[in-house]
Order: sequence, then C-alpha cells, then structure tokens
Amino acid sequence: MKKDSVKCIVVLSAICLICAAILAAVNHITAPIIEENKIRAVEQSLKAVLPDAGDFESLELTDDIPKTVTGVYRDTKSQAFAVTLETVSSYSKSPMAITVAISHEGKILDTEITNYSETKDFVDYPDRYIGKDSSLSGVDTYSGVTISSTAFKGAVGDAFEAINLLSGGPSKEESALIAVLPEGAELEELLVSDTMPETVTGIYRDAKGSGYAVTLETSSDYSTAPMAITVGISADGVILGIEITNYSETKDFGAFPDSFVGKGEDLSDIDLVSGVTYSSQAFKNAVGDAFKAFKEVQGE
Amino acid sequence: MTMTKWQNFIKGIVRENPVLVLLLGTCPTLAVTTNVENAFGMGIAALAVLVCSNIAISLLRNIIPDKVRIPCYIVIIAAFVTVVEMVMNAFLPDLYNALGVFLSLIVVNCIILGRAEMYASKNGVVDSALDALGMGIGFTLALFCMASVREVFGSGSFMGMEIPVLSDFTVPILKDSPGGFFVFGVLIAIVNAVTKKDPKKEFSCKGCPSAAFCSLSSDEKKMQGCKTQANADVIETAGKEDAANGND
Repeated sequence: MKKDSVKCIVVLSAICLICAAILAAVNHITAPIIEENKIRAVEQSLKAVLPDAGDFESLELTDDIPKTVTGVYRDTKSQAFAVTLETVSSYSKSPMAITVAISHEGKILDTEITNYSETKDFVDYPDRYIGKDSSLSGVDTYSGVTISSTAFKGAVGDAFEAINLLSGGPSKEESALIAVLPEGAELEELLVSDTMPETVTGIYRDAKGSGYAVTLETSSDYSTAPMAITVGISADGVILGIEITNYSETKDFGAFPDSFVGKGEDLSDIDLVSGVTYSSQAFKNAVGDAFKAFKEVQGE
Repeated sequence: MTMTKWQNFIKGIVRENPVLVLLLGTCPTLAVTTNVENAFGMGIAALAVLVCSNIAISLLRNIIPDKVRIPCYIVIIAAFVTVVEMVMNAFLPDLYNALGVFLSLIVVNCIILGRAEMYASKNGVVDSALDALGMGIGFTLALFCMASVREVFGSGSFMGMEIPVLSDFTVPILKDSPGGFFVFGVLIAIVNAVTKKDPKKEFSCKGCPSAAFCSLSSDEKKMQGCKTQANADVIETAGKEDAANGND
C-alpha cells in the first residue's frame, strides 16, 4: 500500500517536472518572438487609429497614471494622442488590449481592440465612442457583454485621465475634491486615524472653513469591483456634493448620488436604486462612514 | 474485436466522428464555428494536442499507476496545450487572438481526455497515434462543415471573402447560438442517415458507441459503474423475476 502511494507520488511528480522543463524550453524560444509581435501590434494599432499620423512621440508615463495605460503616444503632425491600454474583464479575468485615439480638442477619433479573448463579440460597440469627449455620455454597456464592455468603458475613461495628467491637468481624484466643495476651497490633508472606518482613504479640510472632503473606497456585496467616492460635507454637517471617481458595475446609479446633496447624517429616507441595490447600499454605507470620519475630526 | 490500422484511423472521421456521433467537444464546436478560418485553426490545434497527448500517454501507460492516471493525463494534456498556445502566439498571432480563450479550453475538451482514457491508456503507440489522427481529422472536418454552413449562409462569406449575391441574403441567426445548434442537429441527422445508424438503442454494451474499443470484461464494467452493462443485468434479472412470478 505504502509502496503504491510512493510510486504514485514519484510518477506524478516526475511527469510534472518533465512537463515544466518542456514548457520552460518552449517559452525560452517563443518569448522573444511574442514580445516582438506585441511591439509590432502596438505600432500597427497606432497606425490603425491615426492612419494619417506622421511620427509618434512616446510620452513618459508618471506614477499617477492609471495602471491600465501601457503607453501614450503623440502624433507629431496633428498633436492627437494615441493611448494603448490593457484591462481585464471582471467576468473572465482574460486581458483586453485596446488603443484609443483622442484629438487635441479632447474628442475620440477612433478605437481599436488589439486583443480580446471573450467568447462574445463586441461587434460595433467600440465605434459608439467615436466623437465622444471625456464624459462618455450616451455610451451604454453592450447587451450580452455588459461586464467586458464596462471594462472597455473604464479603459477609455483611463485614456482621457492619462492625457489629462500628462497635459498637466488635475487627476480624477483632485477634480472630485474641487467639485464637492465650494469654489476656491483651499484643501489641507488631515491624518486618517485607525479609529476611522476602513473605507476612508483620505480626509481634507477647507482652510477657509467651508467644510471637509472625505475620500472613500468600498465595494458591494454583489461584486468585488471597487467603488471610490468623494463626499463633501459642510462645517455644520450637510452634504455639499458627492463625486464617483471609480465605479465599474454594469448598471449605472443614475441620479442616486444627487439625492444625498443637502442631507445630514440621517440618510434613512434615501431609497436604494432598483436593479443596483447592493451597490447603492454600499454607496449609502460609505456616505455614512464619511460622516463618522467627519465627526471624528470635528472632535465629537 | 481487433481492427486493422486503416480501420482504426478511418473510424474517427465519419462512423465514430467525435463531434457528430460521439457528441464530444460540443462547446468549442458551437463557439468557434462562426467562421471557417477559426474553426480550421481550432481543429488543427486540437489535432496536434490529441496526437501528442495520445502518443505520450500510450508511451507511459505501463508506468502511470491507475490511481493517479487522470491527474497525469491532465498534466500531460495541459502541457501540450500550453506548448501549442505559445507556438501559435509566436508564429500565428492573428489566429491566436481569434481563438482566444477557446485555445486554453482544449485542455478540458472531452475528446482529448476521453481518447486518452479509453484508447491511448490501453493500446500501443502506433494505434494510439492513428486513433488520435483519425479523431482529430474527424473533429476538424466536423468543425469545418459547421463553420462553412454558418459562415456562408450566416455572414455571406467564406474564409473572410465575401460571396456575391449571398452576402445580401444572409440568415443572421446562424451566427448565433440557436443557429449553431440547428446546424449541429442537421449535421448529426445527416451523419446518422449516411452511417445507417440504428435509432433503437439496445440496453447492452452492443448499443454503446464505445463498445468496439472497450477492453473491460463484463465484471469490470459492472464494478466501474458502466451503466449500460449494469442496466442490462438489472433488466435481465427483472425479466427473469417477472417470468418466475408470472409462472406462479
């Protein structure tokens, strides 16, 4: 019996080791060729989205650029940008590589999917983005491929974010902090203490005394996809504004965040959004956590 | 029943076609047959994996203990699939991108594991290679036939080339799952008619499509839960009891 078990272990281990050795050898031969193919594919995708381009100038990526961005290139002729991105659909975890061309005026010129391995095709979904600006308004997810098309939309949003940052503009988070507080607020970053809710990632006070901005990151019980929001709260405890800086669910909140504006700590009369109940509950809980952080810094 | 090498090779192409007769590998069959190029590529990839894995498993059949045979087969098959993926990614990147996740899914294709378990683990290298070649060609042929119908009448093209006149009168449902199932059913019916398959199922090993190459004895079949043989015994025993009760 023991001899049989030992034989089983030895044979299985030997087969695993031999297979690993064969795979390592094949990888050693094919890896450089695959890398060359990827570079060629990027060059082809740049030409595909900007066919009249002259030379491409590769821009250096900074640390605050979204992680989905793999390269930003500027056409030396028209000053348009081509952004290469790699994202992952939360449905299958398989990679999706896209290239987005954005004009100097901030409108999408073309999109190209360079790698997509889901079982259901997007068909003409990428073409719906042509002509859109950074708000991507009017572009919904694609029926039957909702999760992957949400990842696609997020990636296109990251392309705009990358161009904005490389052009010296504020990041999405910085823009949200400015948007939730009155105009002209001067933000001072405060310390996030251990006693604050775990969802709180940052808290800022307006030096002019108008209120506080709290940044939070949460996720719904429905999916593990992160949701990041920024809540502006006045000095007397009233919500001034809420901005969503990261949201990758397939169904939109609509005007749900606006229903919080003007409310105090008591959010019991705010109903959840039908069809997005888990995410809207997570959103509501996060706003409650913002109030807890607010009360703590106020010393209550 | 021993077969000649030619019979061993040819059986997988029509009479025991893995897709249209044995009904194995249905998932990639329906998914990649929207166009001929992808279907052909998938067929060739599966053929390569089938042949390599059958040869390897046949060579190791006296070494691999029975208790760990399935994990060993899966490791070997997965290794070959990964090799095919890497080679395709390097030398045929367009086809690699087109096949996408279905290339990796060859690992769990029933045809590969099924032939390894039912044939390669019990027969010599040459016979196993011929069986794999026949089954692989049969798989590729089935995929090619399905893809031809779906692409020509569903998209009005063949291998990406637009067909005049037909491209204006397409049947779009053929590109989707319902159309795929319909074409699949029609092809199965045609193959059944061509091979003059007896529609009445016998509750014995005679009616089992794998009976010809199943080398298990009657007792072994019962022990391994072979339902057709077990059912045959139950029915036979029940029949005898009924007859005895009736006589009483």
